[in-house]
Amino acid sequence: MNRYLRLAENYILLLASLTLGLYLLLFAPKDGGVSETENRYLQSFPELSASSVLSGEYMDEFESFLSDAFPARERLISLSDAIRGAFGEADAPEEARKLFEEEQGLVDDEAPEEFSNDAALTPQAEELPSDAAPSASAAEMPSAAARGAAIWQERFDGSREIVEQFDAERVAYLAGVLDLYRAALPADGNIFFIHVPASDVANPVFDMHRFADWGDDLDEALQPLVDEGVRIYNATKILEPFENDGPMFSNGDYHWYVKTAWRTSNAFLHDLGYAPSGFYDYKYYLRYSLSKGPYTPEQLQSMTLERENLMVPLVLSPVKTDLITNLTERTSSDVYDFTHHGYTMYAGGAKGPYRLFETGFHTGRSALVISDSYAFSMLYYLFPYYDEVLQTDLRGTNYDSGSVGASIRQYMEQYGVDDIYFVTCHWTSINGSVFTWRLEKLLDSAPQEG
Amino acid sequence: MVFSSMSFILLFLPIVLLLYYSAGALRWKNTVLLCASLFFYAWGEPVCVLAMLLSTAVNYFCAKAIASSDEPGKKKAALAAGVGVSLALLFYFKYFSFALSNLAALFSLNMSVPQIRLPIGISFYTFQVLTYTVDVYRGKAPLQKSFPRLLLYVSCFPQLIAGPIVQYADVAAQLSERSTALADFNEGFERFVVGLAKKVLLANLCGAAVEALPGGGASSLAGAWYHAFLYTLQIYFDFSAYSDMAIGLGRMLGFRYKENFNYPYVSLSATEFWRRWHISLGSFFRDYVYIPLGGNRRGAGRTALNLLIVWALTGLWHGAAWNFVLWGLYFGVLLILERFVLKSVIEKTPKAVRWIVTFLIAVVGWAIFYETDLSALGSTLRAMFGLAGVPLLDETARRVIRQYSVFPLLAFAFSLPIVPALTERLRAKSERGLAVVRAVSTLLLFALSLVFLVGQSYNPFIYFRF
Repeated sequence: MNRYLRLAENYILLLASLTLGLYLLLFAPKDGGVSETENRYLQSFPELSASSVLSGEYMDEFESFLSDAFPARERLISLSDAIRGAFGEADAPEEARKLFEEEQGLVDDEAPEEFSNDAALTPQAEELPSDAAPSASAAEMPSAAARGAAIWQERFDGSREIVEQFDAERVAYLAGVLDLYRAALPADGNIFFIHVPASDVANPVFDMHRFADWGDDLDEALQPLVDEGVRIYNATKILEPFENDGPMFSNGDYHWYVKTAWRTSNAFLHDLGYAPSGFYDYKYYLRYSLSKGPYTPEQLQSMTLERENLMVPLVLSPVKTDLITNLTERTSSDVYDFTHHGYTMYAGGAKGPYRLFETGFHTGRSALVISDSYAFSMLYYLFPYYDEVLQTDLRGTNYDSGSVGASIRQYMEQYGVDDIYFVTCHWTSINGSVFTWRLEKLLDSAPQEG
Repeated sequence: MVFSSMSFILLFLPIVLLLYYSAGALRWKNTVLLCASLFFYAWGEPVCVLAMLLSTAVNYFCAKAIASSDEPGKKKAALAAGVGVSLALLFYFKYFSFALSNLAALFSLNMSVPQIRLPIGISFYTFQVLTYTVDVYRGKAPLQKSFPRLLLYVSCFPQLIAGPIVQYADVAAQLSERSTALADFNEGFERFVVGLAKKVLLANLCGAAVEALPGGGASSLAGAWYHAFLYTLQIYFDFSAYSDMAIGLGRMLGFRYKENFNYPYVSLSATEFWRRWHISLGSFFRDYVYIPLGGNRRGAGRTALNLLIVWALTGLWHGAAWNFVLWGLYFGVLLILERFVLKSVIEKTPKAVRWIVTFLIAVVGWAIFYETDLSALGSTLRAMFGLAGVPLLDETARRVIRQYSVFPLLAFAFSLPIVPALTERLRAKSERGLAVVRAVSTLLLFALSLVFLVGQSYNPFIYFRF
């Protein structure tokens, strides 16, 4: 009896499977369509051709079709997500972001409350601590002309999911701060400002195809407010043409790939009047196989995209690197940190408070890069255009309050800075509780010890 | 084609079973099975099916020459030809690029190394077809006069791609005479569902956790260990799931394949571990390499050397990279130590300590196995043993441990023989109760696996690449 019960069940399961399979093959819609839950195009029934069969493409697409056309697919995905969630394995972007902020020193106890991520900014100078309100008073800021901005992901139906909202007041405040820096530069100096939507925004668009597009209009809100010589860049526009050119952001952490950094650096250099550098003008190590490098461009081009994304660009000329403390004290450092295989390999990770790269090139100009870790992989592409590149990261422990010993302005004067690059991911930039706030505060003051 | 795919579960398997059981005579059943197997292989590797056909054809004719000749010299020549061609194909597809790149590095040669596409399952079917030719030569197996039947033995879809490595002598009789009882069909289907659930619900989720720790988790000590622990679970559930499905499918089709895993993580020594892990590979190397080399009959020194050779080859069989050789030698050295040096120490050590040490040995072994890049492997091992100067715990590891802890713990529990123990308990109480539990759990596991498969992207078995 038991045998027959089991047999009946097994037959029913197999028969049900076959029925489902035949339904999918014969009656399911063949045109794919759009998944509302995942915000992506579903696989349509693949077209049969000799080349697609021989390459295996047909089989892959057929497999995707069966999965995508599965009845009640979205409910089943929700169910599997719910089961995984019940076991604590669902994606937790909010938690990930919180951890990222803690890890990156983005929580600043000193920052006024209105600079917290959740509160709207009220840029009244008198509300800031007395030591934190130098020349940038609210009256000098063009707040009347300001408008808000946002980073968003665009769904397939054209509607938008706002990732980050920037209040008009905060935009205006940032404009005022950037103008202060512009005023501190020589007459022909340039300010380059970019904040890059991090991988948690980019990958759902380009890698997972959960969204049709992305966008950011901070540049449109900010550019009209700033003085001449302050250039605001839009990473979503810079990277848009390359959306089909392989992954741009890491899936393992929140950074961009070095090729994405190179593309962005070319946008800056283009505006300085330079021809864009070729990605393969550089030789590369691979982060996970340093002993095997450097690879020639031909070897690298024959490798897979995954490999390409682990590249570490080799500097074109010998670079001397020093950590700078107390304005002039130098300690020799490294251009790469080969003890790590992660993103911290670039430029040796977050060391500070300042690092000076003597690039080996002679252009008569020097640059200051104020950044979070996003700039580390980009620095190498700036070297050929400057005699010296000074880099600093104002966040928490990175900006060691005990050894800075001078204001940013003093550092700029000491090292003859001509251009300043502000390069961060969007988590660190305008809404961050540290970055913008510290930019203003530290321009004319050194951090207090302890 | 992958067992844990929609096309296999919803179309291929039910259609093949329908045709198979409608076929009547065994001759027609075998025809259905052969066609299905070639389609199964060609679905993933349309061109590479030719390599399998060539390897089988050569061995078919070589075995025929062996059986038809009375001269030892000619027999040996035919054996050498069969073995040589099979191993040459394996070498070309699997090791040629590796050998060239090593030669280029060794002699500083400036040469371009061709990237050769590895046919899926070549390591498995090459070994299978070798057992046929060698056993015919040894007189242990009868000559197979029918080429389609030999091809069916090599290509039979349940075990074609990732084993178990079925020795010809074990199934020779079943190719020409077999039947499927009702109980076999039930047991086979249920075994298949258990394998499917192990793959989809446990191995893939452990794999997701492994992926969440980039660089082998080497940025912290805890991360490196947790990564190795997760991979230890992933590879066990991934590979043993495939074996479960293969054995289950075989049984539904009337074949009896030997067990390939026997709860390896309960082992009390490295030697025992290898008696419980990938048993068919161990048997192959024992019967076709270790014993022909002299086994343990030529003194301790020669035995140790034979073990090292076998384990270096075992490592190399898994992949064309030095870490696999290192992994093989790691176990070779451990087995030699256990056999000649530590035997009395092990016997006196409490079982709990032996179990923990053996499990840690396996975890370190899988860390070596995971990372094909030696410099990255060095970083991982240094991190695991506190020599890399990395923190005990970093944010990435903390996040992954917090996010991925329940499923790995469940997986770890299922890697121990808890289910067989519960089954026996239930059987002792009520056969009917056991039948109901099995029926319900089969239904649930099958449904749950389908639910998870719908949302999962393509996720092939780890052992496919070998």
